[in-house]
Amino acid sequence: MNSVYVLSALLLGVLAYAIFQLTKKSNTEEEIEKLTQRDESYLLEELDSVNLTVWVCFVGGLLLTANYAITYFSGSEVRYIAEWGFTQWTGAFIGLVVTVSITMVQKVLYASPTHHKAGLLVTTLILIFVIFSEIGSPMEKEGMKMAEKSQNSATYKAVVGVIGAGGGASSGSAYSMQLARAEGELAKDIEFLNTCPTRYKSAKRIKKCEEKNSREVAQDRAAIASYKSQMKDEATNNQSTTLALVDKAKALEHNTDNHSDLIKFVKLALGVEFLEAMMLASLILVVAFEAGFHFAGSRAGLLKAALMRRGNEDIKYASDLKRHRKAEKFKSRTASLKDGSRTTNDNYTPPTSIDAMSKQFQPQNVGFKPATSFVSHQPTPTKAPSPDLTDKVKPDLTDKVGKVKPMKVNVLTGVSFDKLYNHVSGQVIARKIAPSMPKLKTCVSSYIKSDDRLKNTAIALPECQYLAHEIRERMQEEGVIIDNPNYKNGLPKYLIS
Amino acid sequence: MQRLNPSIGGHLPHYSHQEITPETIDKIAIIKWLLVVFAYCWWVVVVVYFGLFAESSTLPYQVLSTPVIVASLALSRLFQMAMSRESYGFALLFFSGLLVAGMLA
Repeated sequence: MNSVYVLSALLLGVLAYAIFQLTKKSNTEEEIEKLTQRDESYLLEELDSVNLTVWVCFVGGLLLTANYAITYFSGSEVRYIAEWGFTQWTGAFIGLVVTVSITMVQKVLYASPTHHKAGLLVTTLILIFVIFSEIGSPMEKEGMKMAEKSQNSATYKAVVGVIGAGGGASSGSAYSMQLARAEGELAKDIEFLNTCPTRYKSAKRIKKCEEKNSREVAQDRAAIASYKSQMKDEATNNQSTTLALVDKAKALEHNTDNHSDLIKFVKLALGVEFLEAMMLASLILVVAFEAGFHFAGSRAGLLKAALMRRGNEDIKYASDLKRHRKAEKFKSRTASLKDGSRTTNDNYTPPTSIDAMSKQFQPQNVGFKPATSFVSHQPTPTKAPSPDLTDKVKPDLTDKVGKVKPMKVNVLTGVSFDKLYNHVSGQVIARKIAPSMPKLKTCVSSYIKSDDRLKNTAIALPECQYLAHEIRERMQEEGVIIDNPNYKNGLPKYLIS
Repeated sequence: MQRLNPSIGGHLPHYSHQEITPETIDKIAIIKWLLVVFAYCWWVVVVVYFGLFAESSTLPYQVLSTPVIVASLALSRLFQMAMSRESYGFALLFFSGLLVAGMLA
């Protein structure tokens, strides 16, 4: 069996196996679980990088497939694009639309972490078309390169020049001149022969004249016949030479020695034709490219699935998450700049008197604990919190590595810390969220907003962070989470026990 | 000694200046980093062969060269991704495709 076809089947088998491994449910689930434990910022950063790779693959696949589709629908090769008319351009447009739509479907299909049977079937069908069309582009390019090199070679140009100049033939003017001269001599001798009776009076002289001129006429005729025969032979030789030169030019026009060294090596190694060698080389490139496209798309899908599993159900696309986070940060920052307060409560009106301030900032008796009891390592304050918003208690929230900065806290939360803790720790134990600060903050914020009594309450980001920090400290004390013994850059700091 | 770029190796350890010693240098990470750099350099070679020193500068020739150039760039990035995730099987496949693309130049 031809080795090229065996190798081609092997390559396609490798591709199919790669896709199977990428879409196997157990593999994808395991990977999503691992990714769920990572920090959100790490996932988002990797998603950005992978998305860029996916788009590069999209453009590459589009260009590789477009050449075949455009050629097929337009009925003319791209190299003759300068001569295209309306029909060709219309066909090319249709081909391009088909290519773009198929490549987009490819991108969407590859981005699914797992496939159902129907999805796998569609993927297979699309891959068949895509591989078939993408192989043609490098092959055509290789053929064009070989033809261009051949036609630009000095030898080919010299041969074509010789053909154009008359096929290497001599002009034959020597024979034609001699023939013309001989014919002139013949005409003269015939005239002399015919005028012998009028030029001489004696019969003897006339007879002598006629004999002499007859001999010369015969000689002239023989010479003419000889010249004609030589001219005929020469024309035959010239024709053969021209035909030989044309054959030579044909061979030089597509000189297979001008193929790439890789193609020549494959042909030599496998003992196949140049066309088969070109097909095999193109197939290696296309299989690697398609496997890579699937690899990148699948990775992007896994990252998005991990981000959505971390509790971002309200985010339809994980790429929106960054925008959402930026918007949150901007909102809290702008809110803190408005009239010196930190609240995001639209209904907030600044107090106008000290009494009003005192009443406004009295702790609400809705079952919450005073701020001092939240902080396990904060020193007991010597006085009640000041009603002045710009002069709050500043607890020292430095943890073991001193990374948490001191912050101002608005004690007007009115929420039961125990209830909040139970909710958040329940989410962590159920592995719906990871025990990282951003996730805990989001959970705290969403819990407070979900409470009907508190949804309009002023709760700012530093307060969420403070509460999240306290919740995490308590979870650690109660053994809900433990320190990650293998913690290093890129891995989570805490594990759920 | 300059700190290695963690974004290329993916899992390079985070060293401070005082901790860098011959014993702590991750040699495998250096090899991976060098291979990734080689892959990108090879792509530059592909661009040069197909673009700057192409056999022909005619439009059809360049139109047919562009897909291979873009596909090669994609394969370089994919190789980097695969190396950072330690998927060496995929990395070998992408590297082979990249080499073939360059040799077809």
